[in-house]
Amino acid sequence: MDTSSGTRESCFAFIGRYGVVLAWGVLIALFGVLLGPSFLAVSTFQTIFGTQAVLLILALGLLVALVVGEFDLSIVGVMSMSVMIVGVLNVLHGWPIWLAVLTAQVSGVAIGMLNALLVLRLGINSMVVTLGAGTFWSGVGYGLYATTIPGVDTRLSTAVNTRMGGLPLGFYYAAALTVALWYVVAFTPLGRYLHFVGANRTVSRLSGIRVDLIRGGSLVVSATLAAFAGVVLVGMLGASTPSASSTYLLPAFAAVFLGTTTIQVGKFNPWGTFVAVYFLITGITGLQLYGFSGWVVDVFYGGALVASVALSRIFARKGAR
Amino acid sequence: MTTDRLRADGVETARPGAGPPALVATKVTKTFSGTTVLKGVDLEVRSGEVHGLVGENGSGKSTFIKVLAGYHAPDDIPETEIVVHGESLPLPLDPDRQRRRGVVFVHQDLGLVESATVTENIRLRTRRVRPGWRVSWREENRHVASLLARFGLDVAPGRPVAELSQVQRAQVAIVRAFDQLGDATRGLLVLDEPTASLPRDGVDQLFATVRQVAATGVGVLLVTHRLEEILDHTQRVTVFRNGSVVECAPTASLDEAALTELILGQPLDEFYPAPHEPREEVIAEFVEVQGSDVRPTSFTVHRGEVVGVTGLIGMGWDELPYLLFGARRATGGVIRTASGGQTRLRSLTPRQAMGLGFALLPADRLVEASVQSASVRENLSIATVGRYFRRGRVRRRLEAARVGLLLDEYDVRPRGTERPLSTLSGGNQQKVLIAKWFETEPELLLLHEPTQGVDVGAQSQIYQRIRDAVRAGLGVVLASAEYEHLPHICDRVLVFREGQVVSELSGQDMNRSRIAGDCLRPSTEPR
Repeated sequence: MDTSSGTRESCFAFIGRYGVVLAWGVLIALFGVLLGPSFLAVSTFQTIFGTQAVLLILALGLLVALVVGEFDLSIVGVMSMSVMIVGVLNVLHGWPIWLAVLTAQVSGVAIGMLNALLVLRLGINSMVVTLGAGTFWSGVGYGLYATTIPGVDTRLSTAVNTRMGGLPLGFYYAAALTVALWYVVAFTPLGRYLHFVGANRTVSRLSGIRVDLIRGGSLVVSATLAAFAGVVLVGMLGASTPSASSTYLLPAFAAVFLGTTTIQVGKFNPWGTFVAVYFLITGITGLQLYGFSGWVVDVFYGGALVASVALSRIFARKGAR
Repeated sequence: MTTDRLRADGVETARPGAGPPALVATKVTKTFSGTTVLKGVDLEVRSGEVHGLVGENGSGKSTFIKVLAGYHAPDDIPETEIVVHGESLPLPLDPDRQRRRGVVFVHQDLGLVESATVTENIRLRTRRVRPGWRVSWREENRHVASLLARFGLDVAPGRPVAELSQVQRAQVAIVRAFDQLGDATRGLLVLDEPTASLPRDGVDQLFATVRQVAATGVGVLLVTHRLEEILDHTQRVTVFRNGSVVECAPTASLDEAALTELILGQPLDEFYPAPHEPREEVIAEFVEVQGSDVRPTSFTVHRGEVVGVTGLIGMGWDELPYLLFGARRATGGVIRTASGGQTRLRSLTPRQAMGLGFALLPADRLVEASVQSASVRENLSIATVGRYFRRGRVRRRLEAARVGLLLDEYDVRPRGTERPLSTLSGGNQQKVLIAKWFETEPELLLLHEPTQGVDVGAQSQIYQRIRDAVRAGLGVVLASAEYEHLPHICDRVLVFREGQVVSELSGQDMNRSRIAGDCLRPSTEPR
């Protein structure tokens, strides 16, 4: 009795831990059978791994905010601002590309600090602040220039799109960021503090953790990474478009929440997010190759968000027993 | 005196005892895992009567109230019976139906929605719904206005409760309870420590309302620690001790000393404390500490000393540890430490307090002291995790080894470092959290009810830990209402009343009955 339930539990834990990874494998096998060589081609995998750098960077930034229990819905607005700043300054005003990129990054830091100020000093719920801020900065992005600005300095494209081992450099930036965040979250005292602040602010404060600094810092980091995602997006496209960012918000949330159901179950964790991003795009790529288009993206991302939250709730209940 | 007041209120008075009693409880017994906390309690509340119920913490009062509320089922004994206005209620009581059976409660926390209006709060559950689920708020306001006028309350029905004073809120809660009775001539209103959070000058207003409710024929059962309220405002009083009724008598036949003696089971000696001899080395001197419950209070903690602070709930002692740690904002006061440093309490943060060598163990384990979903290891080392950070990473093996060692030392069972804290019993959780704070190597431990919700075995281990710490030269401030424990652990006890130290006990005078007596004694000193 004892052993069988123990085995069942560990089996359950294993599936819980690697469920998304397993599902990913199943998905690849399924599309492999259904689509044959057109899916299993190297180019498909290059598409899958090569195109998601922007989403992964954005999702990792969001992760930092969610870990400490703050919502950041402004990431897409920040990204949009960053995209437009690079285009406007570099193409229209002739600034050198490095200065344009730096300005874009600074805008991310500044918006993040503004968010943090409103959330901490005035005690407004971060969801409300960032929902407003996101829409506000998206609007400002459109205001800077209403249509696409082509002809951004090609050195930015080179820095993002140059292939190495078949994959663009952008992928390696995102992967490096995943490793860096993993290090912070899993191996430093700061990582421990982040999780405690997310779990219970009072306990954290009474344990000597600088809760406000950590909450504010997280909002700054998520905005800064969103600005970086914008820079990478400009590099990928070679142009600045105010409308390019708007579709990224839900996929980022879907990836982060789906990420909590794997690797470190029940916790926001970078590798979970990494796996989730590529699991989702694998599904979408396969479905698109199968002939579905357009609507399937929304259905898949939206469904994944709800399903992942439902799953993590179920795991949390099982774990509590 | 009581009848005079009733007449002075000018309310038509239903003669107490005219109809059937509001409540007759017979042989109510309740056993929790082998411990009988209510031993066949009989209690009668006449209609139109304000009936006091008193007893020490743990005497069975609150268990009895919870049985009445249907929250606990009484032991299944054939003679047990609960009769409300002549109608025998089926046992166990159904908490959702008590209101309809004419039993309503006002608890200490009142249960009002702050952002809603007076009318919305009073009529939340009883509003009349018209066709189409429409609620006529104009009609509801009119109803509430007449209700408030009937009890002489000068409160606008449309005002949000958040704008009301503490007293007005309590009055609104009582009026709501009365309104919920519907057919008001037959019912039982239970007031569970309604004045614990009220300023003293508001209490008379509140009891004017209570007397008016009783005058309509409702029986009122008043549970309180404050003896002057019992003496001034009740007709009869029942005293619980150790789960039994030791006395039920007309209040007029008792005075304060007699009542205290009934509650404690032994006479209260009246000796004043001999001056206590402070030890040499001071750890911290607190000057004019002030908070929302604490009025300017100064005291000193010496090396190797346990200072107990105690009193009735809400009298300031229970806020003190949090003020000294910066966990709650103090409104004034200064800390002087042995090193000569001076820190203003107003701007103190927990982080700074830890820098001064302070550690705080809050009473509310679930909300303020631990993350239940995190592991034992993470909870234990959250304040000291930095010391395992070597050559670029937290050495988890080192950390787990240290935590495992501590779990042995503090006898935490079961021993796993990685299990969620929530899987441990309360006592074992508390040992983990005490270990957490000892790991910070504090100079001064601030403890609030460290043995609350902890089994007897763990209690003695926790007290043993405190004694060990003191022997090692720490200072301890122990805030607790466990009067019987305090004399055994403390070198001195400061008794708080109305936010101020009213007596400092040590040596021979520091005993349970003295502490309890000083807590209870009505405040006759000029304010």
